[in-house]
Amino acid sequence: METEIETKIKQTELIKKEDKASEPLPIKGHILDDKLEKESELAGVLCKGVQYYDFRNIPFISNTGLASLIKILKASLKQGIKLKFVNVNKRIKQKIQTMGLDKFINCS
Amino acid sequence: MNKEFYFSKYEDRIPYKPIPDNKYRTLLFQFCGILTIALGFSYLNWRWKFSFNYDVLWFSLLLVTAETLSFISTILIVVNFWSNKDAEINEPVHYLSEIEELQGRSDRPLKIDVFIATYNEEVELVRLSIIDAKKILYPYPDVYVNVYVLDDGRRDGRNPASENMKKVAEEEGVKYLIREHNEGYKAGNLKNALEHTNGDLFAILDADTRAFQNFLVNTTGYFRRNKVAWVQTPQWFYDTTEAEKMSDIINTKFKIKNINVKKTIEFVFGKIKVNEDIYGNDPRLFYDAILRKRNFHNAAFCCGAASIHRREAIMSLAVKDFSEEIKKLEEDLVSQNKSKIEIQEKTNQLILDQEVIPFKFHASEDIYTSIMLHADKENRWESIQHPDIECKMLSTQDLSSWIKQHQRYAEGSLDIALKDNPLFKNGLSLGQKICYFNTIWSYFAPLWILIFLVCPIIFFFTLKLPVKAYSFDFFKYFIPFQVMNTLTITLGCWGISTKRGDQYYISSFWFMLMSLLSVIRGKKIEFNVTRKDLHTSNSLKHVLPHITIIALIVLGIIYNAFLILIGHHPTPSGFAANAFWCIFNIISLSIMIRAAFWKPIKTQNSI
Repeated sequence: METEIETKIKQTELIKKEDKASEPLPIKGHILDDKLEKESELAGVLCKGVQYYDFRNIPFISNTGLASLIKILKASLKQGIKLKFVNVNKRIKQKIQTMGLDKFINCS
Repeated sequence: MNKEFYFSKYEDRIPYKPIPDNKYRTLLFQFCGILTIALGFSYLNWRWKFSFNYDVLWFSLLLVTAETLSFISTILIVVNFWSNKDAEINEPVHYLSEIEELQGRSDRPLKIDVFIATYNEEVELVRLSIIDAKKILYPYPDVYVNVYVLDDGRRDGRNPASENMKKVAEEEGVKYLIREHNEGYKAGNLKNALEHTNGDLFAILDADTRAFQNFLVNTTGYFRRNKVAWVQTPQWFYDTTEAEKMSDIINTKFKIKNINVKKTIEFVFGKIKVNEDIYGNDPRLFYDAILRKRNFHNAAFCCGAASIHRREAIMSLAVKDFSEEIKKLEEDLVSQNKSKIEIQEKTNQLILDQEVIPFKFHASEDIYTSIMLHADKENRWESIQHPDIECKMLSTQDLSSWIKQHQRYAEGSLDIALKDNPLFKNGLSLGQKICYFNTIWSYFAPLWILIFLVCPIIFFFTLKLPVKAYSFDFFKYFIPFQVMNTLTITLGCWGISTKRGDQYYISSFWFMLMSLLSVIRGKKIEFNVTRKDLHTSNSLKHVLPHITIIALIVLGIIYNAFLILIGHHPTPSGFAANAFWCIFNIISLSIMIRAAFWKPIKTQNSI
């Protein structure tokens, strides 16, 4: 759809690339914040069956953003891939916890 | 685009102004309300203790039970109408920071989406709504107002036999969204829209909802209060039937051509006007009194069309619901001592199956979602019923559509009552519980209405009274209660005509009863898109119960009058009281019979 944002995943400095870079998981809808929306980019990499996403530059997550994370979670589960969000700030972690998503959204 | 619709002649109709608030009237209402409740208790106390006719105890019990159930309604209405608290109207919002805490984000102008939900409505009718939506004004040029047509009918040109909604959207320069299924009906359609858009606020319009230019200017300011989740504006049906002169009806019906006879008819009946809003569609009583006064309890619920929502609020509900479902499953599995691997597998499966649903997939998605948002203990979301009309809409144009629409409302609300009763819902305040329960309780009304309609008939044919006697004692308790009750309702609905609403409240008893039985039997509620075009349907079948009751009343009155004439009637006073009550019943029931046979005047090119 015209309004969808296809988020590309790029290799981060943080995570050593061991696996072949995965095909990007599509993230639809506006996620996280406007900065990301403009750049249409969320850093991430597939490493030993775990898909990492780097939240280093993400200061805030909206509820729509959380819904998008659930979508990513579903997509990764479908592909048998584990999901991990790294460099997640305190505020976002707290929000994930408050919304009861901490049990299945793995972040550090 | 130049198509003439049946409602084209009503385009210049001007909406009503909301009733101005008056604190003295509110105080008087509160005084009368308390007195009504006190007198009601006193009357029912007397009825239960001293008024039974033990010869026909079942009859006495039947009537007093109906009166008691009806009295519960009175109490609920007094609470609902207790006070008026219109929210302060603020300037329209410019920046995101005015409605949300930025929490590290940079500020930016607000983004607003306007959704026009459609399924099978004629595309030219939807075009009118699109044109008006495009004309919506906003004072800040950097605030983008995006209009989306959400077409659940998938009329994107793939089927040459159907109209092309996509083409109309493109012609009008608005965005067009579809999905490949109809899961969740309108709620599903909105879910899809929210997944593909990014407005901080979004307005919901139906296919026939024509927004006025200041729709957003007058409503977005409420969101400066960062707990306001949605604002509902009144739904104003600008196409309700016009009053007809009785003399015109007689002349047409009897095909009178003689000028002198016509003049005589005009002289006698010319000033009598009937059939105004024959289908009882005018919802003013609901929006300007019932829902508006719920602002006091923060219990005004969303009615779908003509509402504006905070995306964050509705999405928080969606995400929470998702996580709670998973949590519930996990707890169930743990309590069943399932292995860790099994729990993980089943949880993963549920994550895959479970959807993030903003508006509840339910026949009454609006009220159900409102209940859930109001019950959110962490966020304490607020709702606002905006008093002024900001949109115009079309009403049902035949009895069958009216019945289908109202049965869906009833079945949806009753279903909520049975499955997730707001009275026992954690997180709702007492006022909210009472207001939501009031809505649900009103759909139980056919139980006591049926008894009130049948009791006089039972009397006419058994000649037994449901009370000991229509004595001084009876009237001593009954009349003050009734007078005060009428006064209280008049004050509560001050300035609003309740005539048609009262008539339909009584005359819809049969369909509401069918809805009640349907929900109790667990029948699946069907989501019918309400027809808003002009058409005729066979409505005789809908009014057979009404005709039967009226026929029995007439027969009963003739029979009793005959007994009085020959001096064999045991209680002429009972006859007088019941006959008087029956006049009221007949007037109420007859509206639906009239509506069933009423035919609109067809204009050229009308649809």
